[in-house]
Amino acid sequence: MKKLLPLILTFLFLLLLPSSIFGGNIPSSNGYFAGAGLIQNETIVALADDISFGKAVGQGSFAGAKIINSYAPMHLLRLDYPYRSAASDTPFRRACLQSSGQISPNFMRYAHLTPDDPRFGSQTYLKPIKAPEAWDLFRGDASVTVALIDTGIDIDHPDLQANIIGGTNLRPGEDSNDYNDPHGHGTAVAGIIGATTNNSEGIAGICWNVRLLIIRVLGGEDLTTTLFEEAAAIDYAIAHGARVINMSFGGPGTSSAEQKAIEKAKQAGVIMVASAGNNGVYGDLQTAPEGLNYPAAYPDVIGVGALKSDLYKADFSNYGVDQCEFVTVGVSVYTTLPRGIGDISGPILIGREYGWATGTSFAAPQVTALTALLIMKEPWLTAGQIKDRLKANAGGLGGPDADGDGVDDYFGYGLIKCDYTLADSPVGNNGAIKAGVFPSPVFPERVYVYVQTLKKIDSGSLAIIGLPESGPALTAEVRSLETGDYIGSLIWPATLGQLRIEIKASNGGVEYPRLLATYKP
Amino acid sequence: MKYLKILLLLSLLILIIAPISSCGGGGGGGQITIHGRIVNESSTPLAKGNYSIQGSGVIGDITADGRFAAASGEPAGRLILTNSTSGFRFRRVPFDTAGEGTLDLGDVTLPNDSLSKGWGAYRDGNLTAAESYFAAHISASGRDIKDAKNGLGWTLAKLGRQEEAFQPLLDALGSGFDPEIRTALAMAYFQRTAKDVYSIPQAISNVDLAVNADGFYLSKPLHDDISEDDLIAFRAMLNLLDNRTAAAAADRNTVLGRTNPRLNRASEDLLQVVDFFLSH
Repeated sequence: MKKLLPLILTFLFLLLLPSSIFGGNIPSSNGYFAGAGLIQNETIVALADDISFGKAVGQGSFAGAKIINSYAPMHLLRLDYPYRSAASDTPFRRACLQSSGQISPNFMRYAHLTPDDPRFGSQTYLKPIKAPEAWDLFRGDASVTVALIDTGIDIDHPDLQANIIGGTNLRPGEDSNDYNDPHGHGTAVAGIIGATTNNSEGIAGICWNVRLLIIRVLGGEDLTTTLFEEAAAIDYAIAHGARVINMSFGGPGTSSAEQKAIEKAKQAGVIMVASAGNNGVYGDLQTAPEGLNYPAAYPDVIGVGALKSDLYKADFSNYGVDQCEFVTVGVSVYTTLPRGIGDISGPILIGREYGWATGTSFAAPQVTALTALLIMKEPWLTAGQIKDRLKANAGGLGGPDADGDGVDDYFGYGLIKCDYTLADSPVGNNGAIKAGVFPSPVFPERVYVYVQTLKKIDSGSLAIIGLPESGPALTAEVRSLETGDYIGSLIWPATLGQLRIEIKASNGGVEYPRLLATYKP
Repeated sequence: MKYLKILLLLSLLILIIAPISSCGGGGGGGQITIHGRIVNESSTPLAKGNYSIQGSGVIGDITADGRFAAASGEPAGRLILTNSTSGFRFRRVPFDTAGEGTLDLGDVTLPNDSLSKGWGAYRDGNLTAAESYFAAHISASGRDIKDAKNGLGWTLAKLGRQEEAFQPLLDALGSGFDPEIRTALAMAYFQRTAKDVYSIPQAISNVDLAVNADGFYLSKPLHDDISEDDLIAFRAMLNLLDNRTAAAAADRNTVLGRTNPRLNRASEDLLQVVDFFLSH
C-alpha cells in the first residue's frame, strides 16, 4: 500500500492540474473568446506608481510593443501586443514584470439596449429566445403584415393601436367591421408579436414595429371556430398582403377546404405558424396520427409547442415534430389584455391592460414574430429558406440526439434563438446602424462592409471588426464615403471560415447598439 | 386519300428543311472564321499537347499539325490559345474583322517566355511570381507588352496594391483587352474608395465601358468567372454607394429580370446587400 501511495498522490495531482493550471484565465484558442469580445491583438499594462509614465509614453513603445493609447492618471498603457502571447512566459512578459507592470487583457464592452416599456421586466419569456440580444441587430420596420386569426384585438389598447392596420370579423351573423376582442385571447397574442415598444408604455413586442391585420373568427364560450371560417380567414389574410399568419388554435382532423387555403397561402409565399395544442399528447403522421393537432400538423405550417419558464416541456403541450417543430416558453407569458372586461375563466388571467397568459397559443406568436422580423430584414428569403434559418439557429434542448436527425420528440428543432437567426445574415439594421457584408466579385479574398449610420459621425468612432471562427479578430480599414456612409475592407481567405462582423459606433457621446452580421465565404 | 398524300409530302419537306435551318447558326451578326497555325519560338508547329482554344463566342478546334480554325459570332474579340503540355504556353490574340469573312492569323507563336509564365503563375494564384514574370517581360521589351501590362495591373490589384496597378492598366488600354482592363480599373478605383471618395464615379464609368464593349469577355482560364451580369451587379453596388439609388435599382432589376442571370456567388451576395439597402 505504501508503494501505491505516491502513485495515488501523483494521480490526484494530475486530476487537479487541469483546473489549476490549464483552466486559468488564459483565453482558449477557439472562437468563443473572439465572440465574447476579447481584443485579441491588444494587452493592457498598468505601470507601477514609481515608474516614470511620461517617459514610457514618450518612447512610443513599451517592452517592444507599440503603445496604442495611454491614460496617465492610472498609469495605463494600451499596447499592440496579443494578450495570448503576453499571458505566457515571453520576453515581453518578463520585461513588463521587471517594470512592475500588471498585465491584463482588453475586452470589448457593449451598450445594453433595454426598451423603456415599464412592464418589460415581467416578460421573462423573451430572455430564453434572446429577443433583447436580437434587438441589437434588428427591431422591425413595419414593412411586413402579420395576420392574426383569433378572437380579434382590443383596438384602442394604448400599446397596440399604433400597429393595427385593420381587420375584419368573419364570424357568421356578426358585424364584419367589428374585430374588437371581447375575450382576450387575440389581444394577448397580439401583444407578444407587436406591442408598441420603447414607448414608455406597457410591454415590449418582439417586433418593435409591425403591421397587425386582425381577423376575428374565434368566439363563443369556448373560443371556437370552424374550418369554414378558418379557410376564409386564411384567404382574407392572403388577399390583404399578409406575409405571416398566426393561428393560435387547432383541433383534430383535416379537411380539403383547410388544405386548399393552406396551399394557396403557400403559393403566395405566406408563412403560417400555429400552436401545437394543449392536450399533452404525442402525434406522428405515421405512428400516432390520432394525436395530431391541425393546422399545426400540416407540413406547410410551422407548429409550435410550449415550455415552462425552466425550459422543461409544459405538461399540457402537444409534442412530436410533425406538430411541434419549435418550442418557446408558453407558461405565464406576460402580455397585453383587453381593458375593462373583467375576469374570464380559463388560462388567461385578465388584469386590466396587461397580465399573464398560458398555453401553446402564446408560444406560437413568438415564432410568428421572429419570422416577421426575418422577413422584414431579408425580404428576399423564400418560405423554405426562412424555415431553414429557424431550424439552423434553434436548439439547446433535449437529450442526446440518438438518430442524429437534429430533431427531438419533445422539442422538435428546439428553442428558437432570435439573435442567432437574425445575425445569420450578411445584412443587418438595428435602427442606428445599417450594414451589409459583400465580397469582391473579382478578388475572392476581399470582403467589404458597407455601413450607414443614423447620422454622419462627427464626434465619435466607427469600428468594423471581423471575428473568425477561431484565431484573432481583424480590424477593417474604414473610410468615409462622400455620401456620409462608410466602407470597410478586410482580406478574408476562405480558410478562415465563416466571418462574423461586428460594427460598433458612437456619435456625440452616444454609443450605438452594436450590429452583427455574418458572411459565409 | 389525296389529302393524305399532300400531308405526307409536306411532312417530308419539313423533315428535309428542318436540319438545314437548325444548323444555320446564329444569323444576325456576322460570322467569321479565324484560322492559323500554332508554332513555338523556332516556328515549329506545336503539333501535340493539351491545347485549348477559347474566345469571344469562339467555337473551334486545333488539328494535329497545330492548325486551328475557329468560328466566332462576334465581330471583335479575343482568341485565347493555350498549350500546357511542357510548361504553360499561352497567347491571346485580339481580333477585329469589321464584318463577316475569314481572318488568317498566320503563324501564332506560343513561346514559353516570361509572359506565358506570368499568366501561368497568375492562373495558379502565385501572384508574387506573376508580378516578377510580367515585370521581366515588360523590361525585356518582348512581344505583347500591353498584355504583360494588363497582367501586371491585375496582379497588383489582386495583391491589394491598387495604386500601383493603375499605371500598367492605363498603359494597356487599346490593346484589344479593354473590357477586362476596364474591369480591373473599376476594381482598383473601388479599392481606392478607401482613400479617395471621388473614385466611385470612376469605378462606375469603367464598368460602363467594360459592359458596353463589344463582345465583353474575360478570359476564363485566367480570371475568376466574371460575366456581364456580374459586372452589372457590381455596378448596382457602386451606384448604391454613390447614393444613386434609382440607378442601383435599375441595375439590380436588369440582372434579376433576365431569365437565367449568370451570376457568380459573390454577385448573388452583393445583390442581396443592394436589395437590403434599397428596401430599407
